[in-house]
Amino acid sequence: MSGTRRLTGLAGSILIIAPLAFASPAWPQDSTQTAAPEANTASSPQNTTQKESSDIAALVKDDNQWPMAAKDYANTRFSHLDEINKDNVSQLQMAWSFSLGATRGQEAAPLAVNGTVYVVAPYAGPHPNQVFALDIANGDLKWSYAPKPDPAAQGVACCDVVTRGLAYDKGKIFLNTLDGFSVAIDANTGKELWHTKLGDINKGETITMAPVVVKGKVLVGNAGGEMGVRGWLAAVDEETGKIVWRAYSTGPDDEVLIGKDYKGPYDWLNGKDLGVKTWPPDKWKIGGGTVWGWISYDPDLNLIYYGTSNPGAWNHEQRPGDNLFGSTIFARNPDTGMAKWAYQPDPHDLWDYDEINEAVVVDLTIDNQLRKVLIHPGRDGFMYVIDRTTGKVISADAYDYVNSIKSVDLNTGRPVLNDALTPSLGKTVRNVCPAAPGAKDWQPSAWSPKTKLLYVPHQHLCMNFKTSNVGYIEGTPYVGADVDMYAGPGGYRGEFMAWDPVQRKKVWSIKEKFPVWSGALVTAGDVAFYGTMDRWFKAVDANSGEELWKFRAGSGFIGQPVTFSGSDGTQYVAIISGVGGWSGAVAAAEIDPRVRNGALGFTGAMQDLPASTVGGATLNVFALPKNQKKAASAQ
Amino acid sequence: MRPEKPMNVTVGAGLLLLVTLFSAQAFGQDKANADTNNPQPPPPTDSSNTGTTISPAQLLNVPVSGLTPGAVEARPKLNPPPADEKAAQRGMDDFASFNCVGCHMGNGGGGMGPALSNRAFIYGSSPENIFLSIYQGRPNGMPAWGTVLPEDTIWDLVAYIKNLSDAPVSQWGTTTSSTSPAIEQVPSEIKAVPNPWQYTQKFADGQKPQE
Amino acid sequence: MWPELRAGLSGWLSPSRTIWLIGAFLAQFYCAPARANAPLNYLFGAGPRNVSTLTWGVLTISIIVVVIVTGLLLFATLKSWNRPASPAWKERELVPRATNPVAVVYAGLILSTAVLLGVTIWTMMTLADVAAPPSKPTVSIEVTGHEWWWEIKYLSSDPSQIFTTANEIHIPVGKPVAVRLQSADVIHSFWVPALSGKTDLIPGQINKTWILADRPGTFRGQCAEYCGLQHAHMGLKIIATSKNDFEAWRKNQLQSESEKSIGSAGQNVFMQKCAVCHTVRGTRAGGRVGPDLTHLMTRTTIAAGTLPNRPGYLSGWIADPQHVKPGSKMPRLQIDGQQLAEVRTYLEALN
Repeated sequence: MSGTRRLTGLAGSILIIAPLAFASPAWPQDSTQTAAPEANTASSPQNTTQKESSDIAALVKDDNQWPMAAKDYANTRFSHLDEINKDNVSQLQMAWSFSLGATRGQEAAPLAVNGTVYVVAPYAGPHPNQVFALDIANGDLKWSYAPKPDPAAQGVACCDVVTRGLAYDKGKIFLNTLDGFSVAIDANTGKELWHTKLGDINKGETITMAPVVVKGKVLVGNAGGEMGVRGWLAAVDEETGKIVWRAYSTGPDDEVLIGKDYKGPYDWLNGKDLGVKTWPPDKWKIGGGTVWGWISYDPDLNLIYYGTSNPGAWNHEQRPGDNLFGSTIFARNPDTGMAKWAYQPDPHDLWDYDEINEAVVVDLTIDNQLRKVLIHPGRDGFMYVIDRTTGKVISADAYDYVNSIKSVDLNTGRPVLNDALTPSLGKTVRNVCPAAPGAKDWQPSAWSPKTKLLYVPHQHLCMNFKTSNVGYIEGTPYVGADVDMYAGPGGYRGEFMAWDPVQRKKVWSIKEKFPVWSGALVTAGDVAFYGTMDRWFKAVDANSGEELWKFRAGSGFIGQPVTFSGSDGTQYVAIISGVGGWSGAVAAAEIDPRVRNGALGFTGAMQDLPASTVGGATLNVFALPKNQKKAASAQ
Repeated sequence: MRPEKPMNVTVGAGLLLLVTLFSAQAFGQDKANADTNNPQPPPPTDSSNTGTTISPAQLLNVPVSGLTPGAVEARPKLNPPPADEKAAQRGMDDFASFNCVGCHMGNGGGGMGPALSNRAFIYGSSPENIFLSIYQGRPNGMPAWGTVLPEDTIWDLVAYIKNLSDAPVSQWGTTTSSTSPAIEQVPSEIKAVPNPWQYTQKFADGQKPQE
Repeated sequence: MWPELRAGLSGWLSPSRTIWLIGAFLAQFYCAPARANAPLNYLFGAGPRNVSTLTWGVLTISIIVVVIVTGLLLFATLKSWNRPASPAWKERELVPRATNPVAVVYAGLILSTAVLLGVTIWTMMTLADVAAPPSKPTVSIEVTGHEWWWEIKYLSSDPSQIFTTANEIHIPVGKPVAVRLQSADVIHSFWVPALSGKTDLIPGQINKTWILADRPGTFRGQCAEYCGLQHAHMGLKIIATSKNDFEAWRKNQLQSESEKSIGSAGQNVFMQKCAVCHTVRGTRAGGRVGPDLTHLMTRTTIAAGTLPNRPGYLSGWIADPQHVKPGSKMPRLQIDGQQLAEVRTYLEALN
């Protein structure tokens, strides 16, 4: 009898306790969480009790979030949030800030997913490439994760030891370390899930780009076009960390992943093994074409779009031929990596015109026809509008002062070069515009579907250029040029402008003393945001360019502004301040402003920057004051 | 008593004979025969291989840190190879050949690597310290060149770097303001010399340099 | 002693004997082909015919002129000398007087002018002829002079057909080859005597010339402008072969050396000690300070023609290049015997 009672009691207990064990409680978002997954386990538990999705494909459509560096797959950097608008932005104030503890260039875009802000620091400080998770409303530090990258990686990063941001999908944060690792971290706990080595610093490879997750694959590309590195884009399975495919930018077709599906938009882009034939023998192995910039994605066409860096050796005479596929925009299938088309804006690049800039996915009405296009602000100073189904150039117009290229022939897609400015060995070519960082470098523009304008932060520089023969020693620079940059015509070195891609002209512009090296943000409140290198974070009217608000931060801006909202509907605008990068290295690193050729020639254009700012590392989060918000929501 | 004419003929014939013999020798000796070795002794100073004068054991005793326990004066007195003009010129060529210019940039302005044009040397500024920094590499990105370069080449680079860092100084620290620095170097695409600090011009504040 | 010598010599040196002596001296020029090992001889070249013809023609004319003038001089001298003891000597005239002495001068002047004018016109015609190659060059090379070796790049409009080698140029027989000349440091001069056409390599300038070999063979060249310590050891070889052989050589040169196919024996030593200065295409070695060593074993000499390309010499060169070519840019490497043997094995696999 006592046995039966005990059994009943046991059964009853089980019946009561079991459901509790199987119920999914609301996972608190702090690091004291006990049920953290093991490092070897696949995915972390989903936030199933909360209404928010954790799938990136859904998050990109939710304007309360900023789930990837470029906001969405189209890379618009546009938010429909309009609590902050052109009427009240002048009231914007600092809500909270956070110091990342690591100076040098802060290029990363903060992410905001489901109430948490994620930021990553460059390779600096005691914990390089550290990732922080912060509470969206009050900036509480939830967790931080410090990887273990190799210090020697600092010696092979061409343009400051930066990183451009993180990625998020299904409860995981994805990080690229400078020394070539792709890492997955649990977004709730900060525990490491997997880490995979993708690049080798002894080959001169680093990784600086912000990864992008498409259909369960983390897309990561390498950097090192100045180190004679062979460029590639890899897809890593987000659950296991295994490499699914790797598409090289040079070499035979089976390594560049060019197959039957591929059709180049022009004759000179069709042929077998072009990644070998357009180079002297074996030079494609050190041919550059790295993938250190932006990746956009069109889910309908199922194509990813990205550009590649300059071909290896700035001294072009060491690599006769078109040098495919350096300085090229690729369209690839994200499942297999196979290329659909490739277009090279700068065949046989002469002046380090990488083409890694963003390819904004937009549908535009051109000549009374709705076209599926990419808007690509080229490094070479031309604004390309490209048909994203075929790769053909619809229009290409200079958006800044350009004298190195006369025009782009729309029949062949090839630029018409200014032969007088072609560098030849030992001869100093003067006054080449734009300079090597182009009319615009990696700093991303923003597209507003409301105003139908592209907001472009960029620089205005010219340069002297002298080539020399350079030997290839693996793991050391492979450049072969003396460069000296300076302000372009007019004496100003930066500009923030609004460009109409259909009218193909500049609508308004704001000239700045220094290059505008920060990204752009534009919102449905008709406000555009950008930061300057002399420590101003500015908000301007998206239609007229009138300056509406500005904030003086601790250090110059080269990062990416983002906007998101908290659970209570407060809209925040955030940007990390901290000067550095290729343009600001003279202020953040030990570089002599009296020697113009430093920093690959950028010192010449930025010698007076250290008199305005030095390095810093602060996440600045702004919001309207509480009373202003009430006023806004009351309208 | 005899007139000089027969003597002239004799002398002339003798000279003719001499010329013939000389040409015969010139035609006969095959300078192009690749089996000959150069019998002359090596010429003196311009050779880059004068042989290093500092042994590895001595180099091991060079402290990299500025701190020695017990505050003892432990820096050994060493005799590095002379850092003369020729060594600096060779060092300048090596600086380009071995891609030092890629990280430290033309005239050592700094970029991926720190500037060599100021007097700040993180790992020591004595010739031995600079030698060791190049030879051993350093953890934050300086490759270990001693694995691939002979020591004499590295000493040449040390001589060149001494020239590069020979900036004019007016004070102990560095003032940065709208008026300081007041001078800049003539850039390397205009003038490429082993001692770039000899050629300076007005600070251009990011504008086009004067020419 | 002198009087006897003079007497004996004067008796022996008759005018006819003098002329024979001179002739014998000059004859050695014509017997040069019988001499072995005169690779820098420009008289029996394989270059453009009209240049050879001009050389021989002007040489012959010059010799004839020398003979005539010397003959006249000797005749004038010895005619009076032949009778030294004649008592009537003092009264004799030293030079036989012609009836109209000025006519002799005019005759000499007109003859000399005519000959010189003729030679000048002939030279100019030849120069004009060789200004451009006889037909469009099929092979184009770019020669860059370094202290003290030659960098040779075979050009092509197809970039994947461009390759670099050093110190030895292969050309097809009978076809003109366009040569672009530039210098990496000081002035050098490109001179292959047998193929004629000496042209300087001037830094900051591109000079153009062309060469043509009308018979197969190996033709030695030499830097002909003093360029520093080892100017004398800056040799060059042009090997003219049949079209098929040239194509085979060219295709071989285009192939890369694969790192795996060479084997790892000396590869580590090579990559560590040599790759910073030398290129072996297809491997990690991409240095440009010294000559490109891809397919090194297809060359007949090393160190710009200084040593034959054989194992002993190769080892000797690597062990102590400063002994062979003091002042050259290749340093004494710090390698031991074992490493030396390994790297030599590696180089011997570069076919």
